[in-house]
Amino acid sequence: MSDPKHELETLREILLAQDREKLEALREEVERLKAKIDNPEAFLQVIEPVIAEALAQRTRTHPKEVAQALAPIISDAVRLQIRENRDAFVSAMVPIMGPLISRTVQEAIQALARRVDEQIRRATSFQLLLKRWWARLRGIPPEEIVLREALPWTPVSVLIIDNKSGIILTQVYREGEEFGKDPDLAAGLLTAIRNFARETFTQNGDTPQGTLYELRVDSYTVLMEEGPGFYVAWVGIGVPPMNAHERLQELIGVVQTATSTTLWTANGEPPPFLMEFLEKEFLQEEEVVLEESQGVPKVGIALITAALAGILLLCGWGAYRLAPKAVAHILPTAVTYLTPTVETYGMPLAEPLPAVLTRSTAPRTAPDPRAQPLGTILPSGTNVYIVAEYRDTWAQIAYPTAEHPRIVGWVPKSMLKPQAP
Amino acid sequence: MPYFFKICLIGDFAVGKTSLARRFLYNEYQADYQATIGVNISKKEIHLTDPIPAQVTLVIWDLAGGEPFTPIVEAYYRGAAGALFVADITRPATVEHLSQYIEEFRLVNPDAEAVVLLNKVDLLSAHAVEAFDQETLREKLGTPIFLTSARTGYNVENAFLSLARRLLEKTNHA
Repeated sequence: MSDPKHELETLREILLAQDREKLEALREEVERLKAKIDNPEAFLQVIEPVIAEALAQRTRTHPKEVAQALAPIISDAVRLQIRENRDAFVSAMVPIMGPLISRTVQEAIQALARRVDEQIRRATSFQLLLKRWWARLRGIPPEEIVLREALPWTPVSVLIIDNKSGIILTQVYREGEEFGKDPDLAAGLLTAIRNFARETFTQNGDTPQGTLYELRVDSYTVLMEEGPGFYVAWVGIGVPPMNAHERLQELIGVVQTATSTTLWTANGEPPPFLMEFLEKEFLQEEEVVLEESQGVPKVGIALITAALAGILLLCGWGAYRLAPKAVAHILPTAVTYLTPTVETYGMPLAEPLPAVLTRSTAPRTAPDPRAQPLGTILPSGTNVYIVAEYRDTWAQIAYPTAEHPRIVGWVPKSMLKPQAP
Repeated sequence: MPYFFKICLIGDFAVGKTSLARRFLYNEYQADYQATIGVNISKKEIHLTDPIPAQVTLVIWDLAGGEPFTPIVEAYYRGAAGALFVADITRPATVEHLSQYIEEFRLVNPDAEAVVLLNKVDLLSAHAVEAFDQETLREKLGTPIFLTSARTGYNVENAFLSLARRLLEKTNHA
């Protein structure tokens, strides 16, 4: 008789052999996986192709959540790497950042080149020739003219803001291009920044002095000038005109006139002339005016002057030789016409010099931008007479006639275009 | 005719100034505390029918809490038509500091309107709220007092609108 125990074992073998083999295979698989998990390098090899795809998919479907989940880990890791292994981090970043920066710079230069090309195409050959000639005379490389014209000042808006509260008193802006997303908030923040700058840069115990004149944010420039109780802010893109602050001071005079003469109506509406002034003088793009390069001799001007003097002398000599009567006719006229600036500048002028206002302006009581405006606004194009000058920057103008001048006040000379007598 | 008023939110740190502003502006509440650095500026347009029908824009300067009265803070106060002074009703020290804030604010804006908000009222039991002596505080500070909760929104809009109405009334009389 066979051993029942042995038979049972045989039966178990028959019934469970397959399961045991499966179990053994699973155990081996688990061991293999455990070994991979415990070994970071092996684990990385396993999950790398999957995690990249999973992350990519998740980023596509839930970008915000992925960013929120990864941001703290990544920023911590980056911070740690920078702190502990700066050189390696820099080496790792250079291949990525280098081409990125290079591409950005290339694009910027291409955009600039396109603007320069456009500028050259737009200018007629005669205009360009004149500009180049004039630039050479003044010691400015012609390419600087073209480059400067490629970076024009594009005004975006001009705001008059209450100094204390930061509330906008009035503003004008190009259609669809208000100052910031919300001009009221932008004006408030600008005022807070000005307050902060002022208090920060004021010496202990002194009255506040630090005034913020300019602020640059990305491609925007905000130019500011302070008036009594308000300040003006001119927002634009590009390189501001050279006389920008002078013009803002002039605007302050106009605003003062508007407020002091109760023209600012009781319901808070600014007078129409102020709005017209703002739109005309501060929102229109204008032609670029270049300043002479520093240190460049005025050889061109000297040469021209010498050439003209030579021509005059020759004319005079010729007239003397050929027709003595003509001397009296030619010489005085020529001298008066050709050298008005040399003879007439002084204070006061011997003869009132006719001029025309190139901009609407409020004349002041003194040749000083801080001086009180007289309360009369003369529109652009008004014919006036210059009766006195202060340094090279201010002129005292009379209006309306030369014979019986009524002294109006002082205006910056840059706003006057002298006329032939 | 539209009216523009600059108003300030003033008080100790973590009393809920920014939360009150957010509740009033966007009707939302953020539980985690983030300290205000310098100043936050926001605005809200409201339509009032009382005392006169008017469109009022409140430009709200939410100032960093607990700052000493430096020239910078003084500059931020300047030009404000009114202020909301905020204290945490569960922290008595923040309530005690209110009179000092009001005094400093009035140095800069003597004629400005002021309203006091005792915030975080949701953290007190009904009994404790009832026991709080509002009358004495009102007499001491000389301002209207509102019990508010930025978390639940309780009385927040009322407090802001009350200040707006006072400003409108004052301007209209002037």
